[in-house]
Amino acid sequence: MMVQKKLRTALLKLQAYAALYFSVLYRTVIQFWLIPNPPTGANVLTGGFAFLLLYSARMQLSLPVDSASMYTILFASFFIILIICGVLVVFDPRLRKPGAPLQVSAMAKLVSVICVGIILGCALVVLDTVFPWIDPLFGLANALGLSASSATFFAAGVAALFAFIVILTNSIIRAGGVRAFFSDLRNDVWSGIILIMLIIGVDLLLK
Amino acid sequence: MALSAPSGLFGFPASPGRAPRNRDLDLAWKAPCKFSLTVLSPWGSAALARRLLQVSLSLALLGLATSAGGCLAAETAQERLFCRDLHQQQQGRLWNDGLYYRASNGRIVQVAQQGVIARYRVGQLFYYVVGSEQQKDLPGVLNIKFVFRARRPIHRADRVSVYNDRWESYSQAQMARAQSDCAALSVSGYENFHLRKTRNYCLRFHFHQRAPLDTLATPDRRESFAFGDMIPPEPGLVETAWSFIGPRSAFAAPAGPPPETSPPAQVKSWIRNFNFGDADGRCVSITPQFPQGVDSVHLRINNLGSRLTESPYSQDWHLTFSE
Repeated sequence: MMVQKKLRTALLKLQAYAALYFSVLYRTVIQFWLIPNPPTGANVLTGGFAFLLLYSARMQLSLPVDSASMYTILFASFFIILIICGVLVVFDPRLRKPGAPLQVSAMAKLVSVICVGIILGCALVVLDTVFPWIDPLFGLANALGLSASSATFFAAGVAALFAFIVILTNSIIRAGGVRAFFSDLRNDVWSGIILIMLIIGVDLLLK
Repeated sequence: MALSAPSGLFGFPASPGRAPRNRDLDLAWKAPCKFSLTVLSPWGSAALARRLLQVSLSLALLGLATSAGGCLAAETAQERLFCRDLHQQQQGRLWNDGLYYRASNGRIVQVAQQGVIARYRVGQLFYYVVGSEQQKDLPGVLNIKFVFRARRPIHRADRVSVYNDRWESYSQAQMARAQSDCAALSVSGYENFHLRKTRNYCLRFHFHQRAPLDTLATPDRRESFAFGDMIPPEPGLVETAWSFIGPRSAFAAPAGPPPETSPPAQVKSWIRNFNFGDADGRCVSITPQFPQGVDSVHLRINNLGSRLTESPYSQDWHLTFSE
């Protein structure tokens, strides 16, 4: 009886955590400063999802998935993303308050948006196993005379673009419409930056 | 198209039973489709006229050979000669596909399934393909896989070297593009493409072909290109994930691991097109290019046949190198 009660409590806690985690995840928007703070350990969970989908996406594109390659790619890519995100936040005048400490939470939220976008991009590549969309893309790349690395960049770029469209759609819905979203120059600028970051991130990870 | 060469004209031996001289052999081995002409200094006007006639004839034959469907699939004079000698030596006892080479004494030797092979004495191998009555004049495809093993780590052990003999008909730019696109092909990428139907630009658009036979036409054909049991499996997702947090396994044992379990292995996969022709069997030449520093090779030849309904026929050789 006691064990059952403990198990029930543990399951309820797990369910509550998952609900909180996914509610934050679904609120991933371009306006990252509006995203609520994620629950403790959320980044580990996101990292786990990212690893799983990155592994599957790399496998789908016949890229090396051995531990040595994964080490290098994960380290290099996320290091670059973290640095770029950190630097970019500093340039936003609304996030940079004079005399105030550095907006670390804003940086973390921007990194979270980029990571979710990369996960989405990798998920789209994995989706190729069910809906083969990469083969026609490679065919087009071959017809254009592109090299193998350019063709992979092309596929990664398209996946990143789709991922961006998903996040942008979510942002527009939460902002209350297209006009409301694009009326703020800040949103426009960050949209462009996040799109570029996603293309760079997905391409680095699928290299 | 049958190509009968006057004796000694293309750098091949004058008499069928005699082994070619080394220089001729080298020329013929390196470029079986590019006929090398042996032009001697003229000793008189009659000799000069004869030479000129021979050169003209050879150029005409060369033109005919290349225009009649390309020299890649067509049987070369060298292969025809080898096949004739093989038939003579075996006295018609050739019922199965087999691998042969010509020894230094001129005799044709069959490569044993498990044996020793002299690295520097065997420059050319010939795979004898038994053709059926229905296969006459039909195109065929061989997939030749090499897994070279060594006690020491081998250069580019994590890459697959792929080659399709149709690349020989490419322009220089096309050839450079194919080689560049296929330079970084990983072993796991190659295996996943053939076994799990993942995407790969090099394999899809350069290595595999649609004509004269589609090498990816059926799942059976696609899978026949995989190395499968020839190479040790790479760690899966769980092992990879564990390697990030757990202790890392040693990449290679320093002293003498058993060759079959040792990770250092250099792998090659080639596609060789041929035409069954009108004879009962066909000798397909293979230039193996054994790399330096390797101790043994596991060779597998898959005969993909000439029809979609045929299942690939596979044969294996486990050979140790002697100097």
